Amino acid sequence: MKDLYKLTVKEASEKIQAGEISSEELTKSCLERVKEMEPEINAFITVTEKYALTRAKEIDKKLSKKELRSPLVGIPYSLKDVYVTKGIETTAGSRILKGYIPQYDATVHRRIEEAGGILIGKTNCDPFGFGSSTEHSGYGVTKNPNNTDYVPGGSSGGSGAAVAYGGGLYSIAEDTGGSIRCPASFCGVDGLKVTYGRVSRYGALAYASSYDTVGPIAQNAEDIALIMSVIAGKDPFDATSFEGGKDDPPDYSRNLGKSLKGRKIGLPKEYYGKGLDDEVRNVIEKAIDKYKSLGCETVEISLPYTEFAIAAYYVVGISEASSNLARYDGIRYGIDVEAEGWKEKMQEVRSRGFSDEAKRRIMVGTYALSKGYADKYYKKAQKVRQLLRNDFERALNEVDIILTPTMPVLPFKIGENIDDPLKMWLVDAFTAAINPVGVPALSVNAGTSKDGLPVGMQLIGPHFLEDRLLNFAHIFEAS
Amino acid sequence: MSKKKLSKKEVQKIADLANIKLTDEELDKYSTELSSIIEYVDKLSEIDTEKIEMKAHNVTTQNVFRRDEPGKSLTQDEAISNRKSSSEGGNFVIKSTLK
Repeated sequence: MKDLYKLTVKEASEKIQAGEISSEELTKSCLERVKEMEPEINAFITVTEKYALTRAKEIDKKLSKKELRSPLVGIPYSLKDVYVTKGIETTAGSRILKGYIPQYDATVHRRIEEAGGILIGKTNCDPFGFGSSTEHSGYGVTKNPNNTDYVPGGSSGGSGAAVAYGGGLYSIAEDTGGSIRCPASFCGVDGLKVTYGRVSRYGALAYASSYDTVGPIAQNAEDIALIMSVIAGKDPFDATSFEGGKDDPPDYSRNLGKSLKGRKIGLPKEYYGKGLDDEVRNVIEKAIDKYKSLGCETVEISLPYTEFAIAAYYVVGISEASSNLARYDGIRYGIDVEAEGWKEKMQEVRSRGFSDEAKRRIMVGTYALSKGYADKYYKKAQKVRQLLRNDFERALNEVDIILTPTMPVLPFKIGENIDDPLKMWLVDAFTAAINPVGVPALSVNAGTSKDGLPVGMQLIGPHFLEDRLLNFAHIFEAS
Repeated sequence: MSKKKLSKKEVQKIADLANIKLTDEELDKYSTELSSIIEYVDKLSEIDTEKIEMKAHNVTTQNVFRRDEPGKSLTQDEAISNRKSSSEGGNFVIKSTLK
């Protein structure tokens, strides 16, 4: 069979279970695709070819004995390079971790391996998730497979690009303020930011601990449902992971296909105002019309604190980041440099190892937490975060889901925003507002611009109702 | 040009706290960039948050306990496997902290 890398997870899984194709054939097809595309796209920091082929052969043996039944058995996937993988270099996209070989596996990786998944590589990203374009990576820029003059979004740009071109059937990425949804939108695929605590963060290199979430990027909602059923659930190694009782995690595919007749979609007026690109608006309006034709009702709603979301998001997020990144001291892991004393050495490691954007965020975070400023910035932002939560809680009591554009703009050109850090931050307006609140949000490919650049819509729902979002997306994609 | 929100001296102080070494050129660049960021986030002060309680977490949190039972863990060699400076005793080695 030709071009196996084009299959969805569901299609490939059915073929593998039926014995029509082997995991080895599928894995080889994806690895060949990676070889063909990587010189131009650069979605991967590390390709684990040998590891993947050895695993695929082992899995094929187990499959012949009917030992594994998960829908992810034998399916090649990639991990954003922020997840630790035992014996496989993990860099978080940063030069400071060049050469770091973890001694243990992230829970999300372990769960997928236990289900029979095949890791084919670690994907490129902005260092520690700091960025919206993957241009800050210490391992080169990733290009958008839809048009290589454009960024793939970020920070999980490598994951978005890899899924878009068939370098693995799905990717596990990380979302702290849009890092899954932005690249999903810009690359024309789907990406889910889960409810905070829904998937274990154990083994994810921390950015902002009260925002960080682990989730999939895949070709469609049906695939995301299959992946979620494997990765979600309580983990004793992550105290903030959700304790859902004995029927947890749920089967995320169970509600797919349920009629949307009479369901209410909230359209927040603050997201459809000035600053929204006309082409993005057109695509989103068509998507809204489609939902109406499927029997949904739309309601204009208001999220009054939207204007302050980005400021609150960044102050809290980078305060946490400045504290989390204090661990990179060059002693236990990371790059080594020559310097006179202990302090000088640490400063030298951090100055050479961190990207400009990492330095900016660490410094603003340090400032926001420092004596005399913590009340004015950090504590103030935490309080505004509560107001944002109230906004969403009120709105989600009125409607089933909220629908917005994922990004206010089309994918931008490589280099276009790199010299204006604040402008780059502001493109996250619609995605970054969600993480301080903690609710789930799914970016779904909704169409393309005149020039063929992808546009994503963001579906937002109440805590822990990822399956509702997946059904809305699935019906949209299936009709 | 209006006065920058953060002077070079202030940026130097922040950089010291964050253990980041900056060249003079970088100090200049970051004092401009950090100033524009701080000016932007200053808009938070427009909101009255007098009556709002500060919570640092998204979900209702409670203490999570587990039994204090020894389990599998890394060996000493594994735990220090990423160190750059080695010693015979299998420790992390750093430069002297006292002069």
